[in-house]
Amino acid sequence: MRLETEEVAPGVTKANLTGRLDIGGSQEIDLAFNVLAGSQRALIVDLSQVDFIASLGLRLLIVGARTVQRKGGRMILLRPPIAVEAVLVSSGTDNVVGILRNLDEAIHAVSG
Amino acid sequence: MSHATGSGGRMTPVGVGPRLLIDTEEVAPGVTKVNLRGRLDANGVQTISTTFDRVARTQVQLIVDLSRVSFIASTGLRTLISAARAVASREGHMVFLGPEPSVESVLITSGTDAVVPIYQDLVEAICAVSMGGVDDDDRPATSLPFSLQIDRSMRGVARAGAWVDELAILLNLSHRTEYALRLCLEEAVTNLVTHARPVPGLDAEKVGLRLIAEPGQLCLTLQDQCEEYNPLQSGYVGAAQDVSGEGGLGIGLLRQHARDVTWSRVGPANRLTLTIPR
Repeated sequence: MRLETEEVAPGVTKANLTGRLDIGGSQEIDLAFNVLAGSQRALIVDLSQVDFIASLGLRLLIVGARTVQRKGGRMILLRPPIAVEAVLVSSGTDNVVGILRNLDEAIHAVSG
Repeated sequence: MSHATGSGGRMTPVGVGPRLLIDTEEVAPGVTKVNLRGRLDANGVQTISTTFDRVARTQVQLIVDLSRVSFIASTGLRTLISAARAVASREGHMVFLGPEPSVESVLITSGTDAVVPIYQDLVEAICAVSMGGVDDDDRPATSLPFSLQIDRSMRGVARAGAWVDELAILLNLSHRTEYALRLCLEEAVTNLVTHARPVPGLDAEKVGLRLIAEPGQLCLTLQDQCEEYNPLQSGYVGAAQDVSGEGGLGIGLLRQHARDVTWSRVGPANRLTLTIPR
């Protein structure tokens, strides 16, 4: 599981996740992701290279989103593969953190 | 692989010459399937007894395919039971495969099925004779491709994930099926790691996994020897409520990806079974 970040617009950070957000993968990036969520106010989490997510991965994203939101910031999930998106929706995670398919829209959404 | 060992040739129509045909084939490593065709009556038994006795005395994993047996008489039952005893006396296992309803009802009313279990599916039958019976097997052998014993730990969860990688290749699973299998295994095993409590004197540190692959679905069984614990009793909690890890998010996801999820207490074991469409 890899976590890399880039600044896609002034003050907007995109976190690129690569791999499986299973238990092992979630644990690998847990600390780094929490630190990121704690330090950013406009965060886009690119899931396009994540091919699996289970409950621990969902919790990671939900806790991250709550952390960002508590500071008055915004977090968006970008381009999850269909199978991953199905789990995000069926679990109700999309009620906590929005899902978008277009980077420009995501930048707009988190910039407020 | 199939080689005729009986009188061979085409099946003789019933009534013309009451014959019973027998041949054997190896359907999995070390697993022999005996195919019987015809009427298992006194005459039929005579024609197959030599071959059948030899097979029963030499094999320890034996499937007797009854799908083409149209009739069974008491002589036939006795022959089958004595074969099963011969197999069992060498710690082997014998099962019946695919009897017609009329034959099956004879097997059941005579109590033969209590000695020799009946299966309708070949893969299930193979698993049963390889692992000593689906119902009373607490510790699946690790050497078989469709069963695995893992540690009840996070390392075990990772091993289960690697098992899914192997199964996906072996069974040529679709992405959707592989996803569902991976998710169900991860959630179910994690649940055991987190919530199950050991019973003193029993090996609670292992979880037995078994997968039976059928054409339309995968049947997954998890078994452990912890205290009685039904994971399905935790109510489903949506993502918005469950961020602590205490709620039923994982089991909720499992239920969404599997059908027929059931839990049962079997002797000292918890058994969770579920099927995944493929």
